[in-house]
Amino acid sequence: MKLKCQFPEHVPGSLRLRFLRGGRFIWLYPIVVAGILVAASLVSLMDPVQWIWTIAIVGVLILAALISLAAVLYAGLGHEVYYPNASKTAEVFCSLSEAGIVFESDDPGVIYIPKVDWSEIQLYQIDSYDLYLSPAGGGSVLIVLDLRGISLQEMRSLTDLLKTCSLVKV
Amino acid sequence: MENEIKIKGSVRPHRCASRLHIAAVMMAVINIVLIFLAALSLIVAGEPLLAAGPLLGLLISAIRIIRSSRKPSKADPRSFTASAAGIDFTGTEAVIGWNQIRKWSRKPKGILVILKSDPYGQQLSFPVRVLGHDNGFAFLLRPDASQSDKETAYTQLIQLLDQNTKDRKERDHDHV
Repeated sequence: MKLKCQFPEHVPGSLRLRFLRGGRFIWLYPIVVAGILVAASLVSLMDPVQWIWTIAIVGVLILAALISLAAVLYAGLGHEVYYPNASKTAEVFCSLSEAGIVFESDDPGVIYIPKVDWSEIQLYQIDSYDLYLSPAGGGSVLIVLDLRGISLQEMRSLTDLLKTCSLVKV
Repeated sequence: MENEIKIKGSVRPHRCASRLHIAAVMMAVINIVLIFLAALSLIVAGEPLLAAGPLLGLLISAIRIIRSSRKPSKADPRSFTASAAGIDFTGTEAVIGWNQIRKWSRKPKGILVILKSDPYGQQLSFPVRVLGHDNGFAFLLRPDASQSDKETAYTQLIQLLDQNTKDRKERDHDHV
């Protein structure tokens, strides 16, 4: 199956965060711990000194949640996106098969990575008419393929291919 | 006859700290703070024995951070020979010509050069190849020299780099 490569200027932030997978919810963890702590202190009898300690700990937990939220946004959105074999002058195509992805172009000079094995790519996402492929690690390297104009039959074989190559949908 | 300057030294890949790496370190530090707070709140609540669990977790996370922070690139410095023809990375067939250098700059630990291609041609992972193509492959060159003539060796290498890359249009090698 041969698809056209795209090099979009902007990838939506929500989509980029999805490539962090479970990591993007890590800031909820300190909030949950703080919640349990508050609930536990409300049901138990505590003297004023214990209250001061509890409030201080909850304060630090909220600070930790804010820092981890900043870290998630930094990891997800803080870097620019890189596209392999990106070219502004020549059109680049990708041939997808069980062996891997083969890049082709009319101008062979733009292809510096001719072939990528499926073991190098772990994540995928289909957003409107674009297929996003990325190695694990925040989606800083993306292969974006144009799905416009492909038939339903081809779409089915594409999703089957992604499944057999054990790619994970983010 | 031109007097040929040859400078030998050691070279190692220079890894600029990636944003993802910084975020991962921040996460690990927060993890340690959380476990410490859990232990502290148990002690405050009057259950010091139960606090032993989180403290054990604290020890495990600290060991994991120390183990992951070891730099693999520190293990294998390789050698190079710089001459008028270019930089010869020992162990590779081709000599990297001066036109292969994108940028260079003096760093406290050596001279940072950013090359267009990886001289060792190792089996790099896919993201590293893409990022390397766009940003270049960074290597830190350190000339072999004793403490006394260290400055001379550095000056010679800088002179060599300056002579061979000065015809470039962008004089941006000071801002790597």
